[in-house]
Amino acid sequence: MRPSDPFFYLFALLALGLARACVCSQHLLRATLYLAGVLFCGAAFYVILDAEFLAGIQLLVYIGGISVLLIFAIMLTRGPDLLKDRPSPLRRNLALALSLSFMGLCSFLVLRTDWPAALPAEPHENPVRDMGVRLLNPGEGGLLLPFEVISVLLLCVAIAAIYLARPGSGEERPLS
Amino acid sequence: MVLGPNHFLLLALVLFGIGVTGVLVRRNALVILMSVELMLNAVNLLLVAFSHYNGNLAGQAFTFFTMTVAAAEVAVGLAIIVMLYRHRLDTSIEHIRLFRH
Amino acid sequence: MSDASSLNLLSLLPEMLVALAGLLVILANAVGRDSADGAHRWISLLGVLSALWFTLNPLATGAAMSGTAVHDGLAMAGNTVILAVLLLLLLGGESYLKSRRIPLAEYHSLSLFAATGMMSLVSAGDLVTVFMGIEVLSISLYCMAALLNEEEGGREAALKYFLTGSFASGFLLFGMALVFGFTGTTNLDAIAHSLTSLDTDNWMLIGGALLMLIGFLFKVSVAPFHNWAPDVYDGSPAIVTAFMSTAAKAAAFTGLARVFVPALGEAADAWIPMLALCAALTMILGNFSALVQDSFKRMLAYSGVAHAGYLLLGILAASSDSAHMASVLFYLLPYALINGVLFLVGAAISRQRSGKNLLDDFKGLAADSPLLAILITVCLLALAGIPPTAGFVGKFYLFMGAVDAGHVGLACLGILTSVVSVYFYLRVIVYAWFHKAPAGSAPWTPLDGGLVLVTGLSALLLLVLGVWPNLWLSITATI
Repeated sequence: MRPSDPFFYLFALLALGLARACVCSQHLLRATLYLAGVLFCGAAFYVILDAEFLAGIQLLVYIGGISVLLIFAIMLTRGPDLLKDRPSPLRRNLALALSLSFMGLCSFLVLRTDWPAALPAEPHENPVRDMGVRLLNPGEGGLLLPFEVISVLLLCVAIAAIYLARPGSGEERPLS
Repeated sequence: MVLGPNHFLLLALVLFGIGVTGVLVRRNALVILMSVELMLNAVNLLLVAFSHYNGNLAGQAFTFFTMTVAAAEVAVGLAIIVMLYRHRLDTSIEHIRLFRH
Repeated sequence: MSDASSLNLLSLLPEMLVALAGLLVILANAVGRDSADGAHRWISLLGVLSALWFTLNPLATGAAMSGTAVHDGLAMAGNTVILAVLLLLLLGGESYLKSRRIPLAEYHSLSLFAATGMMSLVSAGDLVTVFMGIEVLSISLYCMAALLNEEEGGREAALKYFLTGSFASGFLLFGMALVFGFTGTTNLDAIAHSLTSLDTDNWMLIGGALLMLIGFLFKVSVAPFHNWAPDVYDGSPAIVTAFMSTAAKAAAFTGLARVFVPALGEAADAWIPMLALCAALTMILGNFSALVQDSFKRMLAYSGVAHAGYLLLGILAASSDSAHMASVLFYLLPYALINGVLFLVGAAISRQRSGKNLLDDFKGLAADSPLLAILITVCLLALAGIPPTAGFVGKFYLFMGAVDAGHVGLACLGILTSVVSVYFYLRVIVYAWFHKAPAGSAPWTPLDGGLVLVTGLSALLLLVLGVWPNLWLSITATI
């Protein structure tokens, strides 16, 4: 047992509780905070899994970027007031049953699975460097092409977000 | 009990399931978007865990891509939601004919 | 052929040309402001034509960028279909774009970037490339669906498309993570290789394959994951619908084939039953729902769902003998051309009548424009699978493949449902030829020349391929 193991259980409980709270919350702003909490737990798991670099990205991109963006959207649209979002009991129970059976089935299968005995993690002397090389390496195991595709994706998003959010776009204009 | 891949697999599965439930139950576009983020986050956790226990960095590199995509998706989604709101003053999708079953 | 470790940049030329054209469109818009309206179209045309040329006459083939992209026959056929659709929309869509005031720079650059994503999906050799390709194509399509945000339907369609699409991406990604966890690699070749030595009767692998399948089936709108398609197709601008129901579907199908047939072929026992069930459900639901539609756009949307079912038959056949992949690729071209043309022409005709894309809008078409009526009749007959059109040949190959692979029941179901489908295609033809235009409808104004031209060319191509299928089959069969 590694010293980090108790932390796993602690953060796992925290993450599950927060995730449930996020999905069930009737208050948009609180839901966003719960989501940020889950994302923070994610960063903690990455540290437990020796992926400190990703933990840093998680904090920056998710908590610093996505959560803030969500809060902005909430402010822009409705204001942090209560939601009148009471799903009908039928829908609620149906979805609950569906996802519980999905989780149950999967968990059952996972527990039945014999894992190829967990390999001892290869110690990476400098994982950040190794990952950078992997992302930009056109050679064996490199992911240069998808990395380039990201730039296309970001360009698309920039164009579209500017167009959609531009004042005047979407105003009712008479069609000729 | 020593931590193994199964612990992370189970945790990721339950988190993913909570996200799926959120998408299916909730009728507010913003909450659905948050639930999708939960799902993607569960996948990221799974990828990093596999990467750790398989002893290669491929999963971590994959996570890098999914994080970028998740951020892009949120940006576009919020732009669409804000655009919709300007016309309707509401982010609920309850009355959108398209979503009734 | 070059070895997997080299860059092989030349084989990526078509993708690069299309992306470059997208960049130039933005630049032209920034430099030229309002005077650049024509430039967008010419830049896009140039980019698409040169990409098409280098797709059909590749300077280099094989694996590129350490196997994250593979340019083989599958990629070539897929790229051809995508570029052909782009070309069709560029030539025939000009008047639509102008009449609906769709922002030209945004439309053209987003469609070119979406095509870049589709092309990287079609030639993907790695799960990461598959994922990135799908996301680029989906995210640009979410935005394109929102371009016509003057209309309520367009905005709602964009939101619905976005929410279902990102939900599907979650499943796709979860499946990919499980497959990665089981095999320890994301490279498709390496996955196929490792599955030959591993015990494939493993729940993690099967679960991963099925979750990935769910994600893909959402994207190609196969029942029971098709609910979004008719609403999104109906609400989006017709030119965007024409794009997403053809090129995006072709790309997603090719990606599906790439991931499942070669890479997960060893685990075929796990996913074939689900695929077969979905194919049957799709053919039945798609065709019978199309029967009762009053809207031309929705009718075409449901017919697109039904056609996804026929194409799944081809994938099923390919899983037992990869030579049958050619029949899927063969059918994608006529399918994409017909739908691209019909969505555009339908919108143009409807604009002169009710403006609501109703089937009734076709009444009296033959009296107003006999040429257009003839061309549409050819397209609809091809969609119904009536000889001597390419639609018949394509369906014939698909059903024969299914019989070869032992799915006789599914093939019979396919034939039966195609017979049902003849009704709703013929209904439009009957309206066009044997009904009078509703009283009080505005006098007919001739359609835009470019649109008639691409309709004519597509109809001609359908007939030519129906008589000489080998022209296109020889390309698709080089896999």
